[in-house]
Amino acid sequence: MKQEFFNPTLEGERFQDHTVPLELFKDFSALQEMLIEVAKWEFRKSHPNRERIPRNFTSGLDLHLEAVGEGSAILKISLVFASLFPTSNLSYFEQAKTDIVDAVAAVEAGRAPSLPPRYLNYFDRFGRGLRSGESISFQNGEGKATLTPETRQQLMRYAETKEWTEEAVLRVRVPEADKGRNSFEMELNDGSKLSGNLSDLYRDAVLQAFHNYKSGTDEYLLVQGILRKDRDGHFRGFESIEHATPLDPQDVTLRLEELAALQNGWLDGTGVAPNKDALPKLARLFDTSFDSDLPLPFLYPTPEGGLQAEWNLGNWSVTLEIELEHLGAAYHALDLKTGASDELTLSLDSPAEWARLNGILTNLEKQNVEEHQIES
Amino acid sequence: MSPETLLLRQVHPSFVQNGRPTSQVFRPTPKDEDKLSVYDGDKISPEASWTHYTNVLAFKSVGVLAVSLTEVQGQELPVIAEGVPFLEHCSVDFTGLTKTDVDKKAKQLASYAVTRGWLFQRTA
Repeated sequence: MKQEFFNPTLEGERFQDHTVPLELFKDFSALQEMLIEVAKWEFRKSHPNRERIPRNFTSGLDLHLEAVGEGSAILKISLVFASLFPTSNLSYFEQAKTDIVDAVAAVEAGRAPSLPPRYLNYFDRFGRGLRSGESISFQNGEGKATLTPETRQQLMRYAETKEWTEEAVLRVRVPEADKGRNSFEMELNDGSKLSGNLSDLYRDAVLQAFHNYKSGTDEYLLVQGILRKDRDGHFRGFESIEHATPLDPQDVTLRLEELAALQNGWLDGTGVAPNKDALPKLARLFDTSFDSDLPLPFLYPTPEGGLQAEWNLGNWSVTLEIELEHLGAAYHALDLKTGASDELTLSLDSPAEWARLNGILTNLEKQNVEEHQIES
Repeated sequence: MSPETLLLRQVHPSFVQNGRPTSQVFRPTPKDEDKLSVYDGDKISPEASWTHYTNVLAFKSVGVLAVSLTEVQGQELPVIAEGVPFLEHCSVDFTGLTKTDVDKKAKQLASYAVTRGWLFQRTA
């Protein structure tokens, strides 16, 4: 027998096709563990004289994903029982669900959650797979309670753990690698250092980055894994590393981090510094909306406080002057051989305009390839 | 000045990424009042111009690019050999042009300069 139990709504770009990435299933597995432990806690509260939880409290009981519906992605999660009838303990699981949703709603409203800290520890794994801008919402009475990376961080502050983990992608250099100890050191742009294990999966990439350290070329690695953070948000180290790959020398995020260090007056006394708060958003937009088949742009500051992206596509010299406050952009392309030119204004806040930019650049790139083929 | 005279332009460190200069190097900045400052290559060597720019004027430069007088005049841009505030100083005059025209001419000049290559680069 089964009973519909949760209908969380997942919102964010990854869920727009009403699908759910498999990697997020780990999070729901943690939700099931939390649900069981909170249900046991509810049972103990109702039976203060009982020392133990009944042996069959959770036997034959499981959470199953039944379907993924439309509405970004709405999950239909059912509680499945081995027996023909719902277990008599069902009410504790219902209460546990309410407790968990209430905890999310409480931090959203700026209140302390009433769930004891040891159960809040489960939010270390439930919600860890959410990326910036993504959320999981639960029905909460007439309203809803929404778990985001930010509310999860708040919940972890009320948990009893000294550290929590996060899925993270870091751009690092490798000042040290020790084949004997099978370890390496990662250096972040702010100078802080983390250590990691040298796995066979990415050993070559790490050693190459170590070899290139401070050479100015191909020295950065993109490291993806589970990162431990302390309560102040400082990185403590990687719990596990899933991928470590050489970073594209024109990586947009890395370049924007460099440009974020500019101060007013950077251009020999003049020159407005780019707005540091706007740069992460632009990096995300390039990451999610710029066609990955196109060459990454070169990026430079402008004296007015904006940025200029540039591409050389065959004879075409292409620039995109970006105003950071409203993400307006002036596109200009010049054919250096014929003098032909093209210009338009774009809003980088609009997915449709990114598609337009991608289309224009793809056409110039194709033209470039065709000209090369004719010449050869 | 002859048609082959090179006009030397200093390049700010933030205007270079992975060795590639931006076309902004050849676009006058707001403080330039539409006049692009260059050194007359007949009067000073690229390295000496860099030393003057970074030591005497105390500005930042990672190196020197150049366009010829012919290339500048081909863009219908006048060159003024002012000789002030120092003897070798010249200006490429962008006065009266629309932003689009400034961008076009700056891109074309940057292309000539990049093809010619760095005439001097600061050692790391």
